Amino acid sequence: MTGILKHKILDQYRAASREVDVTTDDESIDDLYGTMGHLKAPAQKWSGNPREAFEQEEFWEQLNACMSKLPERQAAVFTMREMDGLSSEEICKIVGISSTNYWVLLHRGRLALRRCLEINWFKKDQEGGG
Amino acid sequence: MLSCKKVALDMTESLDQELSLSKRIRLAVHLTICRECRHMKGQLLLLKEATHQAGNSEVALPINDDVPAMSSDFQERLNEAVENFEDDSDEG
Repeated sequence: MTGILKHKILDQYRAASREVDVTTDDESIDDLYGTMGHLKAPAQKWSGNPREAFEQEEFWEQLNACMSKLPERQAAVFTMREMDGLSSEEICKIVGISSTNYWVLLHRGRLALRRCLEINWFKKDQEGGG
Repeated sequence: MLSCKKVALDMTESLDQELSLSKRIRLAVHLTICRECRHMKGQLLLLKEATHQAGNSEVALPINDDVPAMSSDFQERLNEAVENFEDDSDEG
């Protein structure tokens, strides 16, 4: 399931990259942080042992759903890095971005996924009294 | 004090490769004083672990005993890192 998603993202990405639009709002992380430089959506502690989520099928479905919500370039960078295990140099070449932009996209993707899982999974765990 | 934003990209980089000495020091200093960023780093490591498992499984979802093995060295380092941060955050 996740594998299928992965290839779908890459296919979409390859198709889209032929009509390159370099100006997106993905160029910085400023909008994620407030004036004092703190995250607007700060990380909260997840209750219990978060790794127990790995044993539940619904968790993987949720991860898949969260990944499918990522903006295209974040999804492409994140997937190539974490699922295909490509190096940062390879990914920069494929996507046609600078190393700084690469870390920005990866960071945005990771934060968005973390937040999505916190809202849809780990918080639910807390409400359940776990 | 360095803001969370100023060490944010260093934190992401630290999950993927060894940081330069100066980046490592300023990230470590920030993590010592910022509980939110300690939570964040532990949770990003967990996310990384999850997506590695999903990536290794290709089509099949990694459930129960079918979870494909990461290299034991990588798994060990991840576990250690995540546990350290979980321990940390238990204090407060």
